[in-house]
Amino acid sequence: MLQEDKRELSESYFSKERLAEHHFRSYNAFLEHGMQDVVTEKERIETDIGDKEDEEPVWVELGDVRAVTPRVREADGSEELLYPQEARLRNITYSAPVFMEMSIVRGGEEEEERVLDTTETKVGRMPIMVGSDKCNISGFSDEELIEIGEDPADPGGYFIINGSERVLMTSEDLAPNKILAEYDSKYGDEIQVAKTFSQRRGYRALVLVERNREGLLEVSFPSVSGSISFVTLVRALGLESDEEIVHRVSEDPEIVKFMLENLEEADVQTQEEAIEDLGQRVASGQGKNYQLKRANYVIDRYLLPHLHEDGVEEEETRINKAYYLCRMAEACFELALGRREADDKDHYANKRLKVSGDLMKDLFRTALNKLARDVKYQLERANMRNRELTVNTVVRSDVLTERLEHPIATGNWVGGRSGVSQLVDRTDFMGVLSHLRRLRSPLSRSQPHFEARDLHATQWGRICPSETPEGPNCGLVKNFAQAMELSQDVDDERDLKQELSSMGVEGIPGISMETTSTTSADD
Amino acid sequence: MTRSTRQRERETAAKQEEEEDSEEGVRECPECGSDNLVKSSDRAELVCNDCGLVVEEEQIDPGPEWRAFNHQERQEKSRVGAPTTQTMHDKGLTTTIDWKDKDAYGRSISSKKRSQMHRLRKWQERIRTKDAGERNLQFALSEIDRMASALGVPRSVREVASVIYRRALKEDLIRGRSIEGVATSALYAACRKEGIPRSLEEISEVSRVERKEIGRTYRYISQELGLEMKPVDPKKYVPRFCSELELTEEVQSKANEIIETTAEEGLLSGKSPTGYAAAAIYAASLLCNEKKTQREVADVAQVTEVTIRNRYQEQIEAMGIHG
Repeated sequence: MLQEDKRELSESYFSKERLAEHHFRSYNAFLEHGMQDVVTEKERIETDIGDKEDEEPVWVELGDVRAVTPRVREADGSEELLYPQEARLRNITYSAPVFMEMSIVRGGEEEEERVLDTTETKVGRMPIMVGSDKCNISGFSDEELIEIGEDPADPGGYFIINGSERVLMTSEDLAPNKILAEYDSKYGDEIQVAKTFSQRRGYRALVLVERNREGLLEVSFPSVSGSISFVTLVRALGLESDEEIVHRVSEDPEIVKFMLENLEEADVQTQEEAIEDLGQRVASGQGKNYQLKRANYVIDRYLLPHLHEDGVEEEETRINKAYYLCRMAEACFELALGRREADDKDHYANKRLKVSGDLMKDLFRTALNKLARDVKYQLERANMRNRELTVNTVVRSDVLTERLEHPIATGNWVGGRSGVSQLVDRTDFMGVLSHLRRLRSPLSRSQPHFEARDLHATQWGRICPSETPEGPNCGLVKNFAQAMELSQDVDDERDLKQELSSMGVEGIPGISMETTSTTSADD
Repeated sequence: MTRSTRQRERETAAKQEEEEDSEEGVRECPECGSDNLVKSSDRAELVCNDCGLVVEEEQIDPGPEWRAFNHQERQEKSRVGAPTTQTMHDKGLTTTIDWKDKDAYGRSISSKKRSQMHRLRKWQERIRTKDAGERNLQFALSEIDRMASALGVPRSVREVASVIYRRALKEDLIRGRSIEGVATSALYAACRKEGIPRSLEEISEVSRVERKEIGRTYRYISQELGLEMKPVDPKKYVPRFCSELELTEEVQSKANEIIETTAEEGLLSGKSPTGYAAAAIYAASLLCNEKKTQREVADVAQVTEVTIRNRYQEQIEAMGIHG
């Protein structure tokens, strides 16, 4: 490559658009479909109206959601466009009204379903990132920016809440939905564990498969105290016969031997027995019917939630869960036999970054739930007093606004994390740039965590090897390398799966159900 | 900068306290009888400015700790909780039992303790509102908050609305009227009192009672409570209507000018202020070449086109313009 070409390339990495690009991309994606995804997930708000006799149930259907560009509402009720500089100077929030389509529906039991009211109503205000697509200054030329008092060199990428500029810290998390095998010790013995942080729609569940000192496999997952036998669980999921279980775990003769030990110790032989057994664990001392109901609910709700998918039947999901557990078991055995090394948690392939858009999505989800609870309450109250139910009289837009602004203003995020938002470092221009490109490890700074602080070979080209603070945060707070490229997750997994299927991958859930029936469903 | 904000805060705090003091009516120097008392926050004293007597010492400074640079620090360093507010039935002084089943160290508590906390929580929730009057207030205040939130009414006005409602409750004016009706009229009255009027139409859109009832209840409570409401100045409506119609500042000032000159000639008396403002805006938009149709203006102001036409005719005649 020619010298000039190299220079041009490296210069383009320092251009204004590149500096906070990861923030813009992530936040724009959130505005474009992240917000809608959350609303579509929620779908509707149910109420307790209709629980009584001769009363028709009422619920609210949620439709399209959209945010406009930032506006300020003056005390006299007039609304005007707001530019960042005005927000900074007047100590107000740079946020845009959010509108959502809502319709109140009554009926369904004896009467026909009837829409009582349907309107697009203002549900709250969303803080807007300076420089994002919805920002009022996006697309302005330098002259226009100077005209409205904005600094043309300012990189943007932060929010303005009550006049103070706040960046959302990118956080570095362990990759979800991935099997990580590692050694652990229990009562002085070394054991092998396969871990998966299963994540779907903001719900996160840790599933552990352990090989204890007797060589037996145990699984633990949320809502079940302690651990349950691996064989019982896969049988409950519909993988019944000994042969199939062994075959699904591995063909390796030594692992087969381990598996046979496990099968010998099994307390149950059929799916029914297994579910009964599970029921006794999750709802002991309750009635038999309730135990069964609860066991099924726990399996479908709390075990490996990331394997669920729209349009895939519960039955198929269950068997996929069983296969997935078999993969985890295999990882355990391989580790025990020394066929593989323990996974490196500091390897960058095992890390995912949560950028502003992902954080805002978490926030918006809880805020919307809060709003839904309030709407439910208002509806029930209005109904109790026999008032007409209209969308405008049941939505309190302050609820959502408050829930969105407060965490950004204080840094206390949902899920108990603190320090997520920070005041933009305006010491000098370099300070701002560095701050926008900073990332934080969620590990506690009071513990040593020597490996996590070390420079890892896989950080090459991604993380700056020298820019990290001295002292307790050393190695936990990092900065992006200048030429770092941050890839985003796939928006539409279906497309990806279709593509994979066309390349010959078999047994992808929900895609090739009709093509594969007897062939292996391994990945 | 910090210094100045601090001073400002102290000043406002001092002012507030003075106001509270004056309500109590005990603030005069016991020595010389002067009411020229000065609060010196540096020494935490209340001093008579005329004779120098220290009336009160070791006062508590409710302000935040020294040096707080931003909102968060101010909150962290503050030595007191949130101020009391009239918008909550208990003025925001409740004790709530946290839903987290954790002790002071953040450890989970035993199941026995947990069920005890559950019971305590339930009863705390039940006895928080001790009687029917209190329940009434709780319901009404949340209605006021709901409507104010939908209308985008600022905090201070909600406070005023709550005070009006509280007074109505105290004087037993609610009897025979619906809670929602009185709450809505209290909010309407508060908006007018604070100079950011909302029309009855706007209010009734977010209220759960009808316009007629709001008007009736409003007249009743404003009379009984002696609210002495002056007719609304049509100029108060101009900025809002103009921004909704996306008209420029120029039109706004022109409309204000029209209202001022014509009101001096007594055209306003007996006319609806919204209609009057709408007509002035319509006229101003014509004069400034930013024409809006009567229909558009009427929609925003929630009056009829006929009203606009009539007021418009009167106004341009008085202004001596012939449109």
